[in-house]
Amino acid sequence: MLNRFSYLFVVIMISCGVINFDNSRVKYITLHGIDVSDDGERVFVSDRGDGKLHIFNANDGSRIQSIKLSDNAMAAGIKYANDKMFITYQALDQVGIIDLNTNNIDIIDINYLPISCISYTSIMDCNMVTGCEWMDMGSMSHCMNSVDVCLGLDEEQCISVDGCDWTMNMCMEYGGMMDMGNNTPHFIVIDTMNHYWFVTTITSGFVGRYSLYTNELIDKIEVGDSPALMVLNEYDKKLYVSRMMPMAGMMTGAISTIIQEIDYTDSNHMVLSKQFELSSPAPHGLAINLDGSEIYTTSNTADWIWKINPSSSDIIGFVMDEMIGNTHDIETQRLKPIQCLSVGDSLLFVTCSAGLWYDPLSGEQDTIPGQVQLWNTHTMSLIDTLQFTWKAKPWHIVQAPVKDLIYLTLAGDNLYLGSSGIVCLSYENNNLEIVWTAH
Amino acid sequence: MKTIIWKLYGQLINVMSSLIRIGTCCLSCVIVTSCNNPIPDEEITLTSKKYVLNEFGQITSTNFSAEDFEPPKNCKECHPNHYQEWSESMHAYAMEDPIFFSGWEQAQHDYPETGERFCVQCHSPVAFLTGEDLSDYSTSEELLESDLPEQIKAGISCDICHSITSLSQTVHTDNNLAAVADYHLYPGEGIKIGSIQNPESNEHHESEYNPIFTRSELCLPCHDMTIRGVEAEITFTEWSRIPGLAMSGELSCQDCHMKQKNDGTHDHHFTGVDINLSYPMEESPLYNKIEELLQSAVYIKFGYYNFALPDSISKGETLTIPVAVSSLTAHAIPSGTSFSREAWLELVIRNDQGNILYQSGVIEDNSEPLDLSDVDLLLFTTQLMGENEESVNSIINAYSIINNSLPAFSDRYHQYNYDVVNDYNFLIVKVRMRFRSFKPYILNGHPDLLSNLPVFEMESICDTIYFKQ
Repeated sequence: MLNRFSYLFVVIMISCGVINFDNSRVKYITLHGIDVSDDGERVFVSDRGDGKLHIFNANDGSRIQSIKLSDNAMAAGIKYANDKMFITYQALDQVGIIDLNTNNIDIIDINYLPISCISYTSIMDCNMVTGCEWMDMGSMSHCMNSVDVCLGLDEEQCISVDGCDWTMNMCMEYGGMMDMGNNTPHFIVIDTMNHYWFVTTITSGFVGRYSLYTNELIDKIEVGDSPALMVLNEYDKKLYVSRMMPMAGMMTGAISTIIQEIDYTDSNHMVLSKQFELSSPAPHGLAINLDGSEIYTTSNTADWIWKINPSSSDIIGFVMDEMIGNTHDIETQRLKPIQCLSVGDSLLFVTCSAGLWYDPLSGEQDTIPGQVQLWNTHTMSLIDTLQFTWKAKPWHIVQAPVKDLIYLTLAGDNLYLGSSGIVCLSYENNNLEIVWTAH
Repeated sequence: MKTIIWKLYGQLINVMSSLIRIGTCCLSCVIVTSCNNPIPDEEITLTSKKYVLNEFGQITSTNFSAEDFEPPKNCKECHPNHYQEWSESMHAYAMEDPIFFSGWEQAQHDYPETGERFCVQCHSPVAFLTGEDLSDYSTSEELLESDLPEQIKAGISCDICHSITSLSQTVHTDNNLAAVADYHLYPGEGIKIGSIQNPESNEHHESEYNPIFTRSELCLPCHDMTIRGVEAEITFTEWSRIPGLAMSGELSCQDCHMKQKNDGTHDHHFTGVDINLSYPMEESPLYNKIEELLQSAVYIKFGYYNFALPDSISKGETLTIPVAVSSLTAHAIPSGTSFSREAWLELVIRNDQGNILYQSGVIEDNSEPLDLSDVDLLLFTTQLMGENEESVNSIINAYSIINNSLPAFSDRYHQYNYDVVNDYNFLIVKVRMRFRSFKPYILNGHPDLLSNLPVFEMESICDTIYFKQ
């Protein structure tokens, strides 16, 4: 009797979307990260806006399942391996690892910084820690950072004092303005050959390496400057790191033109082996070719694409926006490329968020269609472009493992419900065509 | 212990709400085998009190009562600094501002069925959520002297924010102006929610941590609104349209408008650009904070691309002055009620005797309107347009918008040309970016407030051009 009742209860819950196995009305808010299962049957997408992992049928875009993570997670980068899904919870400083067979979620706390003063709750503990002091405020007493030595310094003094940063015309403690979390884990890559997974932390500026077997932290390396996306050369055990877009120098870190190479050959210690300095700011999109001999990156603000030879450190760049034809150092902010994907011998896909564009000379606003560009990496020439609406905002992109298809997320515009979604594209004969979309 | 009980209660509510959904919707689904209109599943994951609105934005049923919300003064004893800051803020002034009452009166006149609720949904959320009709009050004095609960008079008070359990969405207003704000609050249960991790409870209330308190989305539903599809007041969207910010969540509203203080707490002045004009500006507790904020909002310099200010000039030549304005702000300048605000460049060229040879964007006093016939004037503002494409000053009558604001983190390049007709030793060029939170004509009905209207200097630069020998 009980089992029969339970069965009925589950049927009711499923049929009505409570457990959310249905494919009925769901509006996506800000779809962000994307990956595909090894068999190519399922596409996984994180929804940053409402804290869910959506699972789609890769063949037709129908939604198979939505897994609630947390409203507050700000789920971003995702990566699939071994029937598990690794997801960064940006706002919670965590990585969630979902067992897709059971839907159990293991939580890995990301904490690469020293414990902050406020976590010490006794006078004795607090005062024993350098940089902390006890603030006696009666019932509100707490442990806080020692007096801010940065406040009041002029620009020249400020930049000469360790831990101080000249920001917004005032001297502030480095990173003091940022308050959304200490680490902000963003993007994950998985080395299934050597059994590691890696995560970038935007705010604290680290790359962390974990065991794919145990999910234990093996090593972390400080790379600074808002690390964002990563690509792997599993054979040579090299990891390449791009940058989050700095906004007028206000985000953590001021240098924003570098791609870093990390050598993780040593099983315990990662080493920053090379830096490639570009002539354009905000190199965010990142891809690597099949044999690891070329790295591609795109400047989010200058709309330039760069090809890096990691062995020789040769770097060459190309303008993406032929209509403007800007030099590499001019930040046009028209196409706003987000991610690159190298496919096969010579193809490179680039998603461009685009959207509203402000002409600095006329002061007029225009709408630039979100788009996917297909490039030939031998000639570095544009082969094809597929445009969406300006509200679509293509962000992350992934290749199907068994077919000539790619999948990408449309982050959408906050004001236009239904503009966020997922798209499947074919590139047969180097022509980009939409196979299906889901909004 | 109380925390555990509350959590168990929350779980119970979640289960009950799921069962209610089964009862109200899904039992019928069993019969018809499908359910095309599932209740959004947010409701089953986080607890908040419920309310239902009709087509006019009026409450038809609600679980909220005014007593659920603490009067702000109750918070004062333990949180004197927070209380003081809030009481000086525009959040506390929301139901006292005569300019608001003027706009509210117009809304009620033009939209008798919906206008009262439309404004109240953000200016007095307690009145909105409890269904308290305030249409009898036409001035702040009447309202403040009434017997209404203190919580309703207090505008956006402590519990409006510190009872938020989950995030809201943008307010999309339909043609009939019906209020639709979607709040997720859980007041009246003795729990205060905030951004402090592992908070300690006290004899007055339980304390809960919620990471959403550091996110820009916390400022929804009120700081993002469309009307008839017009992007009328979209500060949050302006922020979210920057990919780097939308992806990372960094540079949140709170980072700039609720800065962390040396004692680790956050400033509750919610400093923006609005100011209580009933004070002479030098007495306003917010003046210096607004000035500081605005002075960090832009950067201006001479020159852009290959254009530079010349070192020297001769009589008969044209002096070209290229100026670049760079926004350091994560939303547009101006933002919010951008149609009532204006920021502009003032440029003055003086000769070696100090005489003015050329000027643009100069006003003699703070209440003087800008000379809009000046073709050189670089002005950042928006203009709302009505049904017949006429200029209007209130969002309630907006059918379109002309947007000349400076978008987030954007640059604007502007060039002035001055024909040098006389010989001097040198010329001095001074450029200032200036801002005022109201275009003077908007305050025409409030001459007492207009006289207190401040004009802020956001940034200034100056250079000297010598004459060739």
